[in-house]
Amino acid sequence: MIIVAKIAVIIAALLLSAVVTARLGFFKFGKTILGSLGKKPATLMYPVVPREWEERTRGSVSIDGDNCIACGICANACPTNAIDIDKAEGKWTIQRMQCIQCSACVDGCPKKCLTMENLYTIPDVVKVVDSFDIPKKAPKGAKKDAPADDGDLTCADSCVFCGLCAKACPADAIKVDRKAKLWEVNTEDCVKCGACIDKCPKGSLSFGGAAAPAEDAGDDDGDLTCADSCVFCGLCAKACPADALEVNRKEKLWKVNTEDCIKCGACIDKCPKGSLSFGGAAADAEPAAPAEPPKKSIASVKDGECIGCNACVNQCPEEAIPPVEENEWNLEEDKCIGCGACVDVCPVDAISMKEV
Amino acid sequence: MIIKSIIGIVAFLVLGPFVGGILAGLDRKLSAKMQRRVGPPVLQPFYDVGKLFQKEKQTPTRFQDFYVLLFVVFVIASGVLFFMGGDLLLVIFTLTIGAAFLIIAAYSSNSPYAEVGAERELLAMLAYEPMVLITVIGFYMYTGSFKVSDILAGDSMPFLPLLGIFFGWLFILTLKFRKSPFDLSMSHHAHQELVRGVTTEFVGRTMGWVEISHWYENVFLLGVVFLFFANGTALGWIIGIVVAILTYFFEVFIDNCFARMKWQFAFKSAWIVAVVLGMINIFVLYVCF
Amino acid sequence: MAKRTIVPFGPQHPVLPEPIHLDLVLEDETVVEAIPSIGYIHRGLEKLCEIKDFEQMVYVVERICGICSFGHGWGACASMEGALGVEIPERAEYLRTILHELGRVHSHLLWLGLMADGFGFESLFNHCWRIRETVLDLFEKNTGGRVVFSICKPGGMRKDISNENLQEMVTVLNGLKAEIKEVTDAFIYDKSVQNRMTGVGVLTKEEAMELCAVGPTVRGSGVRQDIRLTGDHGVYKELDFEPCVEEAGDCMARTVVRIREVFQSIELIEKAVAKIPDGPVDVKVPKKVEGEFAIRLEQPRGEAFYYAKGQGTKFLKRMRVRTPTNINIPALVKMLAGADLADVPILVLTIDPCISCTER
Repeated sequence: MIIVAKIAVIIAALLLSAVVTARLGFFKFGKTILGSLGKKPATLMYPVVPREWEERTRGSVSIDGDNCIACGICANACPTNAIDIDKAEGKWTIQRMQCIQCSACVDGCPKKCLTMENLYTIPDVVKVVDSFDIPKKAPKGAKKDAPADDGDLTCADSCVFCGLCAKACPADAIKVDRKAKLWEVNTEDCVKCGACIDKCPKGSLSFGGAAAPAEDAGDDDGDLTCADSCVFCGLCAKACPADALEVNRKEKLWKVNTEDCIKCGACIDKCPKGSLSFGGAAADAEPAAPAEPPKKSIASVKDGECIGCNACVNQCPEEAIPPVEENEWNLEEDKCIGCGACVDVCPVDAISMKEV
Repeated sequence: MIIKSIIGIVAFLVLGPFVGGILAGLDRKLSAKMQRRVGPPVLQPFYDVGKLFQKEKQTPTRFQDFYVLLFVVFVIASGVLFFMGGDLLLVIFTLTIGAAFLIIAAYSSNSPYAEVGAERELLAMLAYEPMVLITVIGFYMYTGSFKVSDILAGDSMPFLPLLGIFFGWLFILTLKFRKSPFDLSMSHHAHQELVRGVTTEFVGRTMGWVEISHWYENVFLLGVVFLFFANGTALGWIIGIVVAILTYFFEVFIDNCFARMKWQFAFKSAWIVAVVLGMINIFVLYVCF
Repeated sequence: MAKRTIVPFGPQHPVLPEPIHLDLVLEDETVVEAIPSIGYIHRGLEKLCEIKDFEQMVYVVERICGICSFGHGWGACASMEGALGVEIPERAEYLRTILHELGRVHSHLLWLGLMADGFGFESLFNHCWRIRETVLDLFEKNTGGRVVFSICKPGGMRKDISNENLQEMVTVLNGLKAEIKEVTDAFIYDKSVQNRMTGVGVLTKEEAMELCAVGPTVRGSGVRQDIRLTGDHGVYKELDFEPCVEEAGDCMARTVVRIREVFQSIELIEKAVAKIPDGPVDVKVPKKVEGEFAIRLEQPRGEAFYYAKGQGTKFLKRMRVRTPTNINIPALVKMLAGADLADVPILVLTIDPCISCTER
């Protein structure tokens, strides 16, 4: 009996003190605190327990050295000068502790060989410098027989101001104004990556002084004409930087707006049938429309040679080739217009045109 | 009797810092749990002190070490006196002298942070001393002796008759442990306006000794809690030890539930508690026994 | 006259998150005078903006401060866009507003934690920061960075955030509300916290106006002032924005303003996500800057000012940033005079000081 009374007194005292403190407004956070005792810690024993990274987490920059063209855009884009490129030695170097993971280099890379990895650089007591091998760079202009790599980018007189070079420039260093017949390079911005040289349909661009010999593409003076072999595939219109071409397959219409045409020749390179030329005869730009194509030819593939790369599927302007599965190459014959675009892209030369 | 005292002394001297350190480690682990952190290993306080002893010796004045030495000696002495069953009145005055030496050591450094901390520590002492005295008087009135050994040998638990005093003691334990809301003179982590208050200027070995004597002090203070339940039986021992440990964890809980208050609040509330809980309890004892 | 002591407070002081130096002249424990001095982390970022391409400089301006990083990025972009004469797409403007408000949530939660630490409430501090982690995770998921986001660029945003992700952001934030309330209730209703904050550091309406205080500091003194009201930036006009104002002018009022702003920001995000139009998130900008432009932005800490001047090249002639802490220091000095030494950390924190913003 006495023990019960004692316990009752203790409990009453505890309750009383609890009520008094709570009434005074203390222990407002007590519930959260006691509740936390039963919960797992919110912190992680990093790095012993690895973290889960988000897809966009910017940790550190890595490079796929094989694709690098040592253009230097990344080094230029870096706000903290963390990246160095030694073209002659073939080294791409990043000072990890200087890098601020802004990802400006990754955005700027024209070859997409830089990627932002999730994982941070491991902390260290020294300033980590990472070096990667990249292909040693032969003078980029060499394949166009340009005299030197060191020179600034120049454009020969053969320029038609098509503007393809400006579009290709990853550094936005080239300015082309077709109307004003203006071609300008900002040598400060130019990173000499050579992307423009590859694109130029006239081969007018080079690094340094002498212009590449302008190829004499026959009688250049005439207007663009299209031969009867035209299948109205429309690839020429897609390639035209000046939007001077109009092709309508249904109406069998091929039209060039000679005023807009800048005679860059980009369409000639693209035409799968080789029908285009700067023909002498300034003929009526409309080839014999009513004339039926003499014979219809369609693509066919040699048995067992298709490797299923799907290059032709992507190239076909008419989507006449369904995706190749298990090297089973098919053609929807009624869709095929016989342009031959697939023949050109096939890497194993398995496709040829046959007449039907 | 003498053998018992010697056992008590040796046990306190050897086990005191060990138990105190483990309790400090559990405190940190429990606090971490309450804050949803992982927290350090339980033995972390020992690692910390071990590291402190390896540090370079640097003090602003050479007297400081002397005062700290006296602090350590007196704190340990008060614990020794307590656990050998000595006079409770002597024990608390020894402890007060020890605390006074810590304050003098803080003053001797001439650092503004330590000085302000020392001033606050003095005020804190003023705040808790009445309740400490009342506790001792309460024990005397109930058991008729100041001697710890006599109280231990008593045949009934002093807890219930001294209920008010027990709660009062719990209250000033927060001040003595320097837990929030009363960590105003010296907080556990140097994150207050006074950096670390009293102990700001202590470094290395000196700091290590201060830490160890705090462990001794904590064990002694919990020993007093244990005293409330001593009735000479095994059950009293078990209840006493369990309640003492629970008390410590309750202090940790309070630490996590309060902002740091100013000395005015500490002073006022401690005296109110002393007067209300302590005095009424003494009065009841006077009337009933 | 009582003996005067001078306590050197900072720049290295455990209670200060950032280096500011205060010479506190004490009489006993009362501060008679506080003499501030800054200049410990001047990094010359404004000058740095003149030597690199202006588009890259956004990343530098963002790093003025780790907490209001998004606002700085936005301010820099907006001033450059103004100088370039570029209009950014509406979706980008919405995304910026959403991220800015999300930044306010994380900044205020961080501040609440620091404040709790300032008055010695460690568990509250840790819980505030635990909640803040969730907001940082949202940032990481959507922008790729936890504190420095690098998602603004002159002309819009570098990356779009899909509508699903925005919706998820709203769901997560709404789920957080209960937890935030649990923590903020402890700030408002706990007696020991009230004891430390109510009536401390009172700044009257007149004083606040006179000392040109900005942000929650001035709103805590009963002044309805918020740059978001002007509609210069963001889409606040479409979101029925009304600033949180408290009348008392003490530390508690300023804390309550920030607590209310946390919830308000979550609401603003929800409204903006409901209204966000589809479309592109960036436009191409010219490569060369000419002209000049200035814009004001409401940062979590108050009004910030950005000025960009071009010189016809890709380099800026001048980039100027004025940050809220800079303007709030006079108010701080005013509050410190006559305060208790024990209140100094609370008062310093109450203006939400960001010294690295101040010095750049």
